[in-house]
Amino acid sequence: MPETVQSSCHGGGSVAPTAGAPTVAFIGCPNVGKTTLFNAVTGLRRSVGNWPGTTVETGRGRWHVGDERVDVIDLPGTYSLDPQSPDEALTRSILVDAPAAERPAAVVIAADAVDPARSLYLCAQVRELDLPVVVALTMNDVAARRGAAVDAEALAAGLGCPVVAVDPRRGTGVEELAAAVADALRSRTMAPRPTDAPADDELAAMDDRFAWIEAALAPALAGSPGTGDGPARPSASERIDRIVLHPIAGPLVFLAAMWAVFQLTTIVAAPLQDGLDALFSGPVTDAGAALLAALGIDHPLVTGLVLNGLVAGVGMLLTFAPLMAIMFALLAALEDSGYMARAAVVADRAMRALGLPGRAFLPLIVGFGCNVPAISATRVLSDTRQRILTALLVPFTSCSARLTVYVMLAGTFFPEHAGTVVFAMYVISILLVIATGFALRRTLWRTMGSAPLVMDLPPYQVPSPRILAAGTWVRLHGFLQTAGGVIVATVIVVFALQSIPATGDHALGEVPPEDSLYAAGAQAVAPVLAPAGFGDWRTAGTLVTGFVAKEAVISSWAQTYALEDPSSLDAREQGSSPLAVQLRATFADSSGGHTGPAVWAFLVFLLAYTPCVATLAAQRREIGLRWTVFGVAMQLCIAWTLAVAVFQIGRLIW
Amino acid sequence: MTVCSLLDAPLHRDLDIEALPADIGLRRRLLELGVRRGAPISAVQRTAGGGLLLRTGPSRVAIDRATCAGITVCLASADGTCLAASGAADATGSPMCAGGTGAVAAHRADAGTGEPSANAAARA
Repeated sequence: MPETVQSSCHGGGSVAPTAGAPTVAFIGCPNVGKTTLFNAVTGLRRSVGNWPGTTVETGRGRWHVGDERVDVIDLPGTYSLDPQSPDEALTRSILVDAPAAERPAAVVIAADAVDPARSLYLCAQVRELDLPVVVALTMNDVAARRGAAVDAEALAAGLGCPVVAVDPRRGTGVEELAAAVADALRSRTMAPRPTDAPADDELAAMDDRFAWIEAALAPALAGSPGTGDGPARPSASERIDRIVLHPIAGPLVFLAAMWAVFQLTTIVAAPLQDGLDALFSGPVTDAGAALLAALGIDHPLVTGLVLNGLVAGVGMLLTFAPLMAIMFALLAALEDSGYMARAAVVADRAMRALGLPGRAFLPLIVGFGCNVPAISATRVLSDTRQRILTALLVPFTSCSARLTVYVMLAGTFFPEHAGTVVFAMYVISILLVIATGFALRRTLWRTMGSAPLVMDLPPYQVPSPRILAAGTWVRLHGFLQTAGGVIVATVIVVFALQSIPATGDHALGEVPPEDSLYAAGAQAVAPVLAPAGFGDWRTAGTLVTGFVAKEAVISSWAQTYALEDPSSLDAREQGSSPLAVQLRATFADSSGGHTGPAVWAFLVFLLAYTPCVATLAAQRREIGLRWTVFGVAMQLCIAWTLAVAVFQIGRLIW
Repeated sequence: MTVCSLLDAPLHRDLDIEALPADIGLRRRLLELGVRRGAPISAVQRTAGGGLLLRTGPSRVAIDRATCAGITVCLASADGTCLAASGAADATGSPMCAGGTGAVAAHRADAGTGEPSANAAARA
């Protein structure tokens, strides 16, 4: 494998390839237990991240095979070497298109014993290459219960390669699999299977493969009394699907599931996040201050940098940990249980209007709680183009952090209609997602066809808590690694700007807000916002702070006026607070008396512009730097254009 | 032969695939998932959005409405051959397939002339 595989800045990357170690690729159809098997053989010696130069997620790990340590890569699920998406194309590029010296030393193909004919099509294609192959046969217990157990030895004779029965969830058969892979690595090559099909006739080639599979399976199934065509009476999965996929009940179940996801990522995570926030802003900061004092360090800039920059930055990062952990666990549970496939079927028709598959509904719903886990949730989309498009739309979903600002401003400027104002912002958010989706589909994504829905429905199963926990930890670790640097660095930079004087004779770290570099920067930005009716530096500065975290908008606003933060008050009290009084005066002044339109313009700008630096960090991890930068530019353009339009049109009538 | 689009086929009846959509990528994916001539197929449920849930051997595949409309099937008889006689009815006297006259007309044109048509290239 090329040495550049570790040069990617994407993903966790905590498991580096071992120099000189052979690479074994795990491939297989979706939902056959391939990744569970990969996790079983690698244990915690694994990481997930994007393949270099792509936004396709792969797993990397290490595996002790015989006396050798090999590098293992877990490639995206694919039904064949004829890809339908960029994710599937990665498997072909690695096994077929790469130079011989850069291909894996061996391939493990995960195949499902319940429907071996389908699983083995990929094997039939790989066996046309000269790569050593070992088939890992999963779900043998389910096949046996249906009276269609597969004789692994007979199948191996038919396929011309080793077949090992494994149970990835229990870890059985893993040692036998390692022994078979060790033998395959020693042999270094495997004679391709003979084929008579013309090279230029794809249908004939497919028929040839199916015939080869049937010939190999016949003796392997000869001893099984069942036909393998499924149980005579409906299975539990079929009975459940009569409801879950029902034209009327199905959407109701789907909405209930999405509501549960939304609630868990907001209400359950919120107290954990508040607790961590209180921990870092309280005891940890106090301990840091005490430590600095004990070391004799009392310069305001240094103590501020450490406590209000570094500690605050790390604290902010860690407050996302419970939220992200819950999100990753929910995603894994929905996928592992089999419900995710059903949700995609139910939501397909609605999402097709946006040119997205049904699965795209999940990240958009989660975005109304928090955009950060919503960006990570785009992983449910196997097609990279769909994932990027959805990740670009997520920031337009109005997260709960923005809600705090809506409530404050609605209570201040529209006290009699505060609830309606907040509701209107969510309606605008939905319209913005739809409109932006339409626009992108007809421009940059115009060549992306609306993929037909042809989806295999795996049987329902109870997610394994152990597997869920391990997978959640791997993903959370990767997020903290890649997003942590961006978030902490940004918080430190903002603090530094607020601590360095731009005017006046002030010491570092003892600067009034209006004399800081922060204010100077805000004053430079303010004229750009003048056409939108809120070209005051304090308002512009708030938007800059809001870029770090929307939760900090009100507190930083209060700070610029040297007033108390009214966030802890209810909406009515916020509307009559000293900050509210100052804000009314500021907006009236900056809008030339057209306060209402200016406030609406500000609300629209707040909704549409970049959510927060944590969202950007998540986007960078999922869709790469280039698309993240594009997203920022798009958000700022849309936000400014809409805000100006709202104000300029609004002031004509209000 | 009694043929119709998959969308119009009755539920819980064994079906034979006669023709798949012409799009090569879609056809390939259907074949990979077991939706092909000679494989045991039956439509088991209509899904939200107007599509169908198919049983293909031991597995089940959800297909959207438009794709179902582009798949031509005929009803399999007990001996595995396609049920003969146009307008055939089941034991209750109901038509075997609902609607689907477009697909039936095209297929009859192919079968009648024996000349290759656009559908010939899409046969499974």
